[in-house]
Amino acid sequence: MQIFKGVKTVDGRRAVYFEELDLVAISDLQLGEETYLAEEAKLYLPQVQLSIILEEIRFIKDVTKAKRILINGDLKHEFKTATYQEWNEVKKLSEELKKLFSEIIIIRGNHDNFLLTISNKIGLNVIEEYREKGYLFLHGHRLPDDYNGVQTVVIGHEQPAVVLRSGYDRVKVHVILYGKDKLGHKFICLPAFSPIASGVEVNITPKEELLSPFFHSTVDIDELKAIAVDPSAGAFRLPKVKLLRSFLTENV
Amino acid sequence: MIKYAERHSQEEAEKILDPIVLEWFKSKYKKFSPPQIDAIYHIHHKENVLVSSPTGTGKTFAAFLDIISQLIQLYKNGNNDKGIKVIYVSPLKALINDIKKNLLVPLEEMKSGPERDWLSQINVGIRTSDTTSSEKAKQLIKPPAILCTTPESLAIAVTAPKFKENLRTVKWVIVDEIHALAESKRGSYLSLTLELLQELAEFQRIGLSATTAPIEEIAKFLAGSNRDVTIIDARFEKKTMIEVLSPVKDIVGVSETKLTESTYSLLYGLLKKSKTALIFTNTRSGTERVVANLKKKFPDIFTDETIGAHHSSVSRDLRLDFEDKLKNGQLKAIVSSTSLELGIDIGYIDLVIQLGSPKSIIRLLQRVGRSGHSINSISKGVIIASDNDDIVETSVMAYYALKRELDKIKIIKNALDVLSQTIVSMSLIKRWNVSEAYSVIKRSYSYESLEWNDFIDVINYLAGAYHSLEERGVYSKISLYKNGEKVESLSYEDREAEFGRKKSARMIFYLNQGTIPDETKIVVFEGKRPIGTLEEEFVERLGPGDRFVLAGKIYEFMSSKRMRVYVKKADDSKPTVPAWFSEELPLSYDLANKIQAFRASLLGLQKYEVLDKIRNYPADENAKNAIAEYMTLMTGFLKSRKLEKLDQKDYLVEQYKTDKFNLVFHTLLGRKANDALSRAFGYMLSEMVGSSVGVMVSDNGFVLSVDNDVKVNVKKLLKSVSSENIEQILHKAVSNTELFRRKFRQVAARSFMILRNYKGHSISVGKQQFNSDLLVKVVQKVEGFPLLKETYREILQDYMDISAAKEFLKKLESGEHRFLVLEKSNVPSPFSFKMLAWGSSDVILMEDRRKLILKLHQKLLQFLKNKKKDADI
Repeated sequence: MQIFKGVKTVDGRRAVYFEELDLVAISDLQLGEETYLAEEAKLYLPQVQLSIILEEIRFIKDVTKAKRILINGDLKHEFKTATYQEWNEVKKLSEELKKLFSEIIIIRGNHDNFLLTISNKIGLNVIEEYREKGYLFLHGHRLPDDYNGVQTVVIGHEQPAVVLRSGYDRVKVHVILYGKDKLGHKFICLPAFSPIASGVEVNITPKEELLSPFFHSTVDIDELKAIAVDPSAGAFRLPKVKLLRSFLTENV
Repeated sequence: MIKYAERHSQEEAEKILDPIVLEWFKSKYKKFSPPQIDAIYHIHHKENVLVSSPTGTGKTFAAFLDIISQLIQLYKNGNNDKGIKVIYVSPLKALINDIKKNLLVPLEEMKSGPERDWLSQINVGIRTSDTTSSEKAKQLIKPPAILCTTPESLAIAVTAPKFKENLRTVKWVIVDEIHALAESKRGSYLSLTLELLQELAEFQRIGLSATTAPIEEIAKFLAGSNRDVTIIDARFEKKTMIEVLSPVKDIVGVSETKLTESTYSLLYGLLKKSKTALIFTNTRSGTERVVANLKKKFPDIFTDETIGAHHSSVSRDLRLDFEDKLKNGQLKAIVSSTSLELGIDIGYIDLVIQLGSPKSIIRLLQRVGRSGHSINSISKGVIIASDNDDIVETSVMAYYALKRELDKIKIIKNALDVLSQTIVSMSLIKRWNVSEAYSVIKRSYSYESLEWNDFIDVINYLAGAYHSLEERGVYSKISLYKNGEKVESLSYEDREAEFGRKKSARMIFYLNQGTIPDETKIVVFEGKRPIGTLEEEFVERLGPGDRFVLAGKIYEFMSSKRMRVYVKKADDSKPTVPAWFSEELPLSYDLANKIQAFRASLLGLQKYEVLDKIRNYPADENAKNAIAEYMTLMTGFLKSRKLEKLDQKDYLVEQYKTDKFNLVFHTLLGRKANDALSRAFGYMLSEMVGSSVGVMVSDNGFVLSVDNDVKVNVKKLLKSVSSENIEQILHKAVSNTELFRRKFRQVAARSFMILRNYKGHSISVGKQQFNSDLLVKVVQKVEGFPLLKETYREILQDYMDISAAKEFLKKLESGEHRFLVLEKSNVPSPFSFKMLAWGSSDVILMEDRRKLILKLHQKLLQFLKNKKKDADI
């Protein structure tokens, strides 16, 4: 399904494929969240994230045949320290990615405080943003310094999802948000790739509680359209966020 | 072997007791009560003994008289060995303080004779979570002869490296209020702890129970699976009077205001005539309401000094104050929800008033049994009913209570979360061979039928085997060994492997053990005013525009922030999100069956015939009249549907149309069985029609609702659930519900997967605000996870009653029961009024996520079409 010209969904997966760049972009993997929860909240979950993430990535590679992959921030869940133990999953993921893709681009996110120090050891290159052929990829917790030559902005960070409800039926789906920002650039917000992320319900959450500064400055989220991505139902188009809000309140 | 005690004589008991005890007893009382005689005899003969009798029959002394006598003989002969001889376990800390007082006074009085200083060797100590560490240190050096404790503190004591040495001398363990423990996970925990204590000492077990049934099950629970036990059945020793009262002549036609008015005048009349009354309501909010209203309406009699509310939310000081006033006879009435059910010494009560149905015969007898101070006095109780169904229910209940036909409680079996705790505690004691540990656990009646594979799964879970290799160190709570070498996990064939202590486990165990769920409540605000609390899982479901019921009013959800939800009052329109959790007690299955038979026997009759048939029921004229009216009304309804009468085997199914299409199942089986049936039939209906289904469960039946445009093949639906497939259907039907997430969170906490307390710091709930949806999502990806198995078990067997549901389905299959489906109509039957008035209580979401999404997408497109402008996608 086309998002913009040359920009496509990957079935019902939480990824976007950019034809011109031969690149697939995903965001917010939150690796090691289980360890974080165990350390911080004393909540001992069995680890399932990594194996599911790897399976998904292999599937996406199969469908798109993309040569390159871009991780648009928050590869890793927040950590106070950077011990080897905690980075083991990152290492495993990077080994697998190297087998599948000829180039791996990793954008720094707000959770990636120790990524820079450790990435060299694993042989990963971590950058603040990536620009090519008019595309600007950045995590979205900060605004870019400039928009020189930029036509399309791609962020993550917000982890958008939408709730649909009618009568007794109700469901929550992850979405890709897309549209134009107030400066006239095309704009895309990627959903969270982490299989245990619940997603932020953008048609419920008041605008002022959204995380990304984009939604407090250059982008009116209500004017963005959405594409739901669900492994069982595939990808399907939804209207603007403002209509998804009124669908909830008016259609009771 | 279980045997019932034969009756012994006053003289036999007197001969057994030491003269010091006998002399003291005779200076206070004329003679022993029958349960005391039998208890003295059988405890003296070194048997395990269960005493079941109502309040005021001297149960505590029944247990202690012979024990104190034996202790006296021990110390009299100059024996001065240290160590604890008696352990008294009670579920209530308040009870423990009472017992200490009740023992100290007699012991002090016995000492008053010449040269009896040595009697001070029989001292009493308390060990609960309130006990200071300096007090505990003293107990270590100078252990009391009698230790009074809770199940949780005892569980810690048996693992304490030094203190447990003081337990090797234990000869008697007394478990008080054992009927209350038996049907809870706390009971499972205690039964395992007693087996661990058994590893330290040989002791006699003495259980004290209020009136309950089946008494032999309680006896086995006390003794363990293969030990002998003697039952002293004095359940019906006290005379009992019970009557059902209707506050008004015509309870059908009366307005809510008039009913309330009349209820309070009736209450006032009863209270005026009694000296001190104990009033039971079924909810905490009801308790407060009754106290406030009595004070407002009758300020001449009811003031802060003469009436009080007693429930778990009332502060401890206030509660103790009430208890003291009660004992001194200063109170006119005390109002309680459940907290005064258990045997706190509450002094003189001459009347118990029950507002609304207490939902089980046993509970009615236990509550009424709180009145009448001695074995020779009469327990008097009245039930004030609040509507038709209530009158029918309580009349049948009172009738069988007086006939001594009790309903049955159920003992929880093989709870794997409690097992996790005990395995951790075992590892703190020593290194165990797994087969040996398994056989110790199976000695407990609660784990008699524990499967080996489940046991090994729990061991593996605790050893971190469900975690990746690297992380195992962080997650494991025990260590595993094979041939002396450390291993990561066990296979089912490893019968000679061992498990032992892991370094951090003792601290985790001490700070997190116990089985009472630690619930996170979210406070609901209307503006700045807090109006109540909601379960976290419920809040997760709320979105803007959602309306729900809280404390009897409808509110609209506005927003939520951290641990707060903001709402505004909504108009009278129906709630969009049903309240799925009920504060109400469920009607017992056995009683429900009796009510079903009662109703069936009265349908098709003339009013005077009904009145004649129920003339022996313990209800006043108003109540009997209400029953007769109600039954003839239903008979009239059935006649309009060409049915002369209902057979006892007939279970009605109505097809009732409103803005929804409702299927009303009149399965009078109690809420737990109906919970199981409704979700199973609801799930199958959802599968058949491809739509989510609204479900409402009550004691008297259940209602399934779908949109009116949905076509339902009722015949096919009724055949779709069987005794064979219901369990499988329910697994699917509950796995995606808030109920499941809530129960899983509790199971996870009990199994130490979520720690509330770590290194002495309690972990803020905020930090653990981990979406419970995700929690379940993650573990459902793990195959054979024992905590999931336990969650299903708890929901199906404890929260619901799947065995009762199966029994009902089997009878349908054999033709002993049958469903009788009525034609579609927009007039509901009188029996369904109350069920329908509740609104639905849960939703079974369509299982097929793809279909659900597509359906909602269609609705959205329709919505957009009506919007026209700006609505392209």
